[in-house]
Amino acid sequence: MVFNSITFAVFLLVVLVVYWRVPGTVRNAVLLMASYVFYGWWDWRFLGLIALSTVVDFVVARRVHTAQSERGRKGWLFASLGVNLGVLGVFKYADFFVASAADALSALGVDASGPTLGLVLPVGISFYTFQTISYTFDVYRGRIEPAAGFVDFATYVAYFPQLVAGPIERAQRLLPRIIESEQRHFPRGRDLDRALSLIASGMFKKIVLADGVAPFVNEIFSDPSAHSGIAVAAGVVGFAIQLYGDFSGYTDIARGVSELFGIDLMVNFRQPYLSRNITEFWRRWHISLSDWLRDYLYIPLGGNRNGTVATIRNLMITMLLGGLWHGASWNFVIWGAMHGLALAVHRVVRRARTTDDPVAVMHIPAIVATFSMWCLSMVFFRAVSFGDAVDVLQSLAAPLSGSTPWPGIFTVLVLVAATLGVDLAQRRIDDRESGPDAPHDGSAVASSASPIMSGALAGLVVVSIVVFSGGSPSPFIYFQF
Amino acid sequence: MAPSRLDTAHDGRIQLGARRRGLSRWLGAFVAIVVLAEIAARVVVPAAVPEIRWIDAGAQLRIEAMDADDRRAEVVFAGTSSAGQAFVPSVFERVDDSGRSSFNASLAGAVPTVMGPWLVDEVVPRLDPDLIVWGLSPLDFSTAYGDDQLVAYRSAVETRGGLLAEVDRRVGSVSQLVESRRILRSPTALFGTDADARDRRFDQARATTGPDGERVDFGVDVGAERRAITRTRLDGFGIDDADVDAIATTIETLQASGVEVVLVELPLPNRFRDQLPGGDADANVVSSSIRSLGERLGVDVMLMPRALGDRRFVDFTHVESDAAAVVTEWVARGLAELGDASTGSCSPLGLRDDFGFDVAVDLCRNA
Repeated sequence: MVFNSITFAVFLLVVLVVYWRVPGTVRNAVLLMASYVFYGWWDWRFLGLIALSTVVDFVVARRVHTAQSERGRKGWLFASLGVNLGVLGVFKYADFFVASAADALSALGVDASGPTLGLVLPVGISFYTFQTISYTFDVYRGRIEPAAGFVDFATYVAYFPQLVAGPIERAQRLLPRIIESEQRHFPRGRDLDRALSLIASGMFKKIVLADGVAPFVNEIFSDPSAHSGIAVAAGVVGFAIQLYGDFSGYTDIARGVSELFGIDLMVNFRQPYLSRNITEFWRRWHISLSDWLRDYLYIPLGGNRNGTVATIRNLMITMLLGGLWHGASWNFVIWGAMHGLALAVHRVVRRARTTDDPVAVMHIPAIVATFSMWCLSMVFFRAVSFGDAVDVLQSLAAPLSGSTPWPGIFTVLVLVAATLGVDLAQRRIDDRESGPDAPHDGSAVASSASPIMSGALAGLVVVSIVVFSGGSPSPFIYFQF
Repeated sequence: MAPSRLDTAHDGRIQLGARRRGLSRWLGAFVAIVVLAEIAARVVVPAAVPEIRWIDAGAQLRIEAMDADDRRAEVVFAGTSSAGQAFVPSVFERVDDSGRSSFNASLAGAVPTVMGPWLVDEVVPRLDPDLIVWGLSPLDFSTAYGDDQLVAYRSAVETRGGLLAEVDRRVGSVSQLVESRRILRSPTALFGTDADARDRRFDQARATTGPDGERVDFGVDVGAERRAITRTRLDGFGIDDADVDAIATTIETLQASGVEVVLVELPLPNRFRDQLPGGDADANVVSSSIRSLGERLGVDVMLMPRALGDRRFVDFTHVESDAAAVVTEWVARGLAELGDASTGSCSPLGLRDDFGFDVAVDLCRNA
């Protein structure tokens, strides 16, 4: 059940009606049931994994909290990590490690082949596993108290708007919002505007930007050597637009839907393609994952406390594992390594100075350089195998040999312009009108524009969605992670 | 000093008025953009190659032909492209004693699971026929053939099922923006390579479709590639229950709405029968199936699978031009004689070829 389907629209309507009709005390039970139905729609058998993760962390966090000794607390923490990472390892990484080990042995002349499990990857497992790990970790660190109610905690783990592709919400932030179910009220006025604007914006990003450019991107990546370097470059840029539209579109819809239930989710994207360096980029792209990696991996490794060499080592480890989080493939490891290296270089050269100053014309070269580095890494992110990625890079090196489908390139340029236009407008309005606590996610657009501008924008969004809709609903890219 | 009740009411009216003005401006801008987009679509789309909204360009041409001038056909020919090529409406109208009008609504690859909904939902409402002559061959019953066509039929814009598709078609009938959005969304689909490819498909369909829907593709092709395609379609030959059920259901539906049906087992060359894994045995199973379907459903049957020699075919399934006229004449004569035959019997049509030999065409009266 994907957000851009009629099935989800009906499901959401039914759940909303039931949710706001029942007493506040049972709203979380309704949300939990709905979340399990939503997840079970893909494959009901994987509900057992969510249930296992939920029960283990609910129980373990209490044990961590009540354990008398540090050793006992640590023991329970590692028990939680063992179960969560064990499940993730078996379902996501087992076959990859077995195949990689076999390949390595073959390279050494040893004929080896291990048994592979061939398991289907449960959708969203990387997201909810990181949530439950952060919960137990935060209880261990004393940042939060363990959840008192099982239903509240189970709802936090399985909350359907963000279950399958984030944001990866910390318990510290989301759990209190879930617990206070009786204080929630249906959004009205500007809150309702905001929720609906987020949903419309997400649909626009998904249906127009992502799905609009997808056919051209698929054509290029399916046979890069048949296309000129110009066309391949456009395909790579197109994929960057597709990924952003797809993922940030999902997040916008998730946040808008969640606000209809009276629960606000964290901002996950802040116009990342307007970043002026790679450090700023990672503060604006998939923010919930960046924050998670920083707080639960980079800082525990020592962060930047032990000198430049240790800092670079920690950055590399964090980004390599961050790459591997996306998928069990060497391409993702290379992708992570590229970003680790870029962050390290930026740290050394510029001491990781970043600025929140408004974007200006003088920043264009830095923005282009950052975006180009991101696009280069996208080659490994999108290509199915290392060999395919090399094919793409080789094609990039020959700008004029091969076919150049100009109409497709034109489509990419139009959608790049649309993406930049939307991001620049959001950034400008946020810079101008939002206070320090504002989300800086562009949602101020809905409330700050004049009625004529707002109506025209709504008309453009509706027309765009109408024009680009009508195919089978395509799944969101991040569901596979 | 506290504001009086009058002041408060006055302020409330001002606020309400401002809100209404804001809302009307918002709505005005929204509608203006939507209307502008609709106007732009109406300007751009007529200059572009039309979208293929049916299973293929040939089907779209037949729909256009059926819709033209509120056309009516008392006799409709149906089936796959083999039937499309074998039945020539102009010949039929010339030789038919009753002077009935006719149309060939056959479609390429339209096995019974596709032909059923095509006849019931599209052809009959448009042409209002009294009789449908449905040409069948082993390809119609093959388990290895037809699934792709069914998927394509169900995916086509005009024949897609479901509430959303129906809403899409209804809104599309009043809005060019909605109706043509699949080509509006992409420059290649509008004026680029996709449009060129679509144009070629229309050109090819026009070149091989006669004025009354018949297929007119008489290029000879008995090469290895064509043979391999035919063999693939008959791979592991068996009677597909879904196709038998589709024939039965369609005939019952047509009969319920007062449309008579006659089944015709089409002539095929020996080079086709050689591709059947079981050879003649498989071909005989098909004949028996058609005959038993006729008996079960009370439908007349004409059997002519071995009525023409190999040289009368341009490939493995399609008759050549003169043979098409001959087959059509046999059908017209068979229909005339069926009226005199006694129910429950099968008998030769009593035809002789140019050399005086009997032509193997049997009539079975079941209606």
